[in-house]
Amino acid sequence: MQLVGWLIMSNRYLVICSVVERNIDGHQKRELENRISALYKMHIGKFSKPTVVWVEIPASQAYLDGKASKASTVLTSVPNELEPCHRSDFLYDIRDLWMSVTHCARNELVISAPDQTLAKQFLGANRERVGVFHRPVMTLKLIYRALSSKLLRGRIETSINL
Amino acid sequence: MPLYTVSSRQHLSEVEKQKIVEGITEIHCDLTGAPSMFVQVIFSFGVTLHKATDIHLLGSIRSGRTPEVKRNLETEFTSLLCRSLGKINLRADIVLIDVPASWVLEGGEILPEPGEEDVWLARYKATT
Repeated sequence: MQLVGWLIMSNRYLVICSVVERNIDGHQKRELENRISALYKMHIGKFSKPTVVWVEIPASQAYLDGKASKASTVLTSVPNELEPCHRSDFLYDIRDLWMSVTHCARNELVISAPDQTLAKQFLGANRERVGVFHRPVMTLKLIYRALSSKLLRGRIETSINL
Repeated sequence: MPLYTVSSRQHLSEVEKQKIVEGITEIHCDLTGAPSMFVQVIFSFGVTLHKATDIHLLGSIRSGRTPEVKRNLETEFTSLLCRSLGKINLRADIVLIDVPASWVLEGGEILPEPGEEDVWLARYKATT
């Protein structure tokens, strides 16, 4: 998670798509990445560069309303203090895109569009749960996963399990 | 929303996970009055936590909860984790992060502010 800190910069936006394993195929992921990028350019700015990270969750580790779930959770960071109407328009467009590509039900999708500052706080909390001396190891592991998945599949993928 | 991530060093059993999921859902709804249908819990295993921590719970909750409600959530979650894992002196680290409701879309719509769920739920059910 330390690695992604550098993404929280002016034109770079982190997008974390947490999905239940085998629920969304590679073709759908590619299409979602391309169209999310287009939505960023449309809503946030033509020079904006989202970096999409796919976090896979084993089916036995995701629950909603007390039951096993296949809901996707999508974090799309946006500029600090984005106008409320722009933020909601962006959220609704991400919703429409996701539902059209994955054909999921509307209760199988959670999207947040936090300010970059809050996204950074969330990532920081994830990093800080790990013991100080193990953080470099975790960072290296995540970099390895990111690079190998990018080389093998053309996208950044990791697992909720470290 | 809320989204709770439970992190531990080792995998938890199905029974332990189910106890934790049911407990988190019940506690969150009891203390906040929020509907259970949107309480998400995910587990992250293989996390090398701090030496002084046995289990970690990170919760993203809607902004607007009082400090007292948040304190009670932390106390109840700690107690739940101890019970669920059968360890009286379990060292649980609970972190809660506030997220404005208007920054989250769920059930196809932007979430309502805490306490304004009834109108939102009525609209949601009418279109289901």
